[in-house]
Amino acid sequence: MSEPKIKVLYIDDELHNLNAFKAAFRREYDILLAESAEEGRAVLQQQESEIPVIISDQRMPGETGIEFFESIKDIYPYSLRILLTGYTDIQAVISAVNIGNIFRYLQKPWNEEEIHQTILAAFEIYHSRVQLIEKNKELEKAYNELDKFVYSASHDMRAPLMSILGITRLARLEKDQEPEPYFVMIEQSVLKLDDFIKNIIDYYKNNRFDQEIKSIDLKTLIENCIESNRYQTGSKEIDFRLKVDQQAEFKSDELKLSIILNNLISNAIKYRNESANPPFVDVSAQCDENQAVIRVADNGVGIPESEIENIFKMFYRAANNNSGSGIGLYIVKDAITRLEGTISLQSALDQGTTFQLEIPNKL
Amino acid sequence: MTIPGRSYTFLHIDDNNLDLLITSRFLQHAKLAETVHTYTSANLTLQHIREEHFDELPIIILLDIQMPELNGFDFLDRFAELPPAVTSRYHIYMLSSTLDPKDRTRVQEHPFVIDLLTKPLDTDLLRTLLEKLPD
Repeated sequence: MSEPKIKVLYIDDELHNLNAFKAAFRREYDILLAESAEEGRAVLQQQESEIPVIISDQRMPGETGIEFFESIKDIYPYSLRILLTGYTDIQAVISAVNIGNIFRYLQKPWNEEEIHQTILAAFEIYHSRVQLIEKNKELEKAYNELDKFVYSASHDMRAPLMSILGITRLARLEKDQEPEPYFVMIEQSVLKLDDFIKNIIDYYKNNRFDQEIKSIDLKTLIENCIESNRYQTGSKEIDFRLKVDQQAEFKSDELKLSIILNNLISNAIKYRNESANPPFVDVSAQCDENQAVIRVADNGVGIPESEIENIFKMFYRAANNNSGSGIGLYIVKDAITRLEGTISLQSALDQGTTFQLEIPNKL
Repeated sequence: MTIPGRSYTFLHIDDNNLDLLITSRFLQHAKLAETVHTYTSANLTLQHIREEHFDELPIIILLDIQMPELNGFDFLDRFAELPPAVTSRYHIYMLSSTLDPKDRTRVQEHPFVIDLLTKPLDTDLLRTLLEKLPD
């Protein structure tokens, strides 16, 4: 796959110059032409993204190149501006630098090699400007997450501890009572805190480690995920069903896939419907050379329709019970994105939820 | 005038059943509670307040902050829309394990909240606060 050509806008009032410029450089660059400053602005407006390099003649009727640059520099701050002129006018050079904020000043008649070098140098700057913006966006996202994390940690990690402290004080007040109920309550809080900590570790594993693509036996992977959820509260009542139809070798990131499945299976157990007979968790997988489709279905409490769009948000908790921390599905979504896959769900209150994953096969 | 050893009616709103149980038992041990109505949903509490389920006077509300659906502050916003004849019957304290200074500021600025109490509930402190309430 070849890189798309660098876009260059050239503005000159002389048609002959425009044609000569296009003829000389069109093989290497994607050349856009304009006969006046006004036309130049129109070309800029039609573009979906900024044009990396803008070259303009200085002396044009109506508006000079410098005036044109001055008028566009705040609207297109990442473009690099180059002034091309046949006159050696020191005042124009000073204005070009001070007012038009130009990148280079070139003389006519142009030297092709010089133009090439100038365009490439300008594009390099443009490219690093754009990268910087993207990096900044990423940093901002990380910062916002950290901010949310600190806020949530004060609640999600402290709440179970304060419950345990409360139970301990209560046990002391009720010395003559049987101790067992207090242990049950303490255990419940400890498991909740442990669940949160495991989720946080998953989240960082998912974030920090690079992709490790290797061959995966889906049956073994899913069995392991079910196995690691066996000790979760309520797991004993669950009828686990598993069906795997793996037609081809499947390659993907095993760690991320197991984080996803662990979370979905754990949720299916957590949000089981106690009155279902029996509550089940049904995991099925189909795989060919292109992709693996994995479904995790349950007959649990379901998700209200109004909550579905929010469930993948960080620290969003839809259910009115005390077992969720609101980070599990956020991690799932993040991991799916990193595997370049998709996740969708269907849910009906009191009937159950089905999550469907489509993960590309990285053969 | 406050009668020493007086007990009150409480509405306790918390999404965590365990904390509801712990706090209720504390209130009973401290002999502060006549009755404790416990709620895991702030929505349902609002509904009961609107429908005037409670005729006792005054009623003390213990309100958790972080809850799904309607959180503690959302509850307060809706509560504030009720007629003064209703709201004046309730005295609200937040009860949370939060350490976030933003929560404390919000509580202090909120006209309907008397104070932010930290979990687990300190009944001696609550008694002192309740004794300061206008009769």
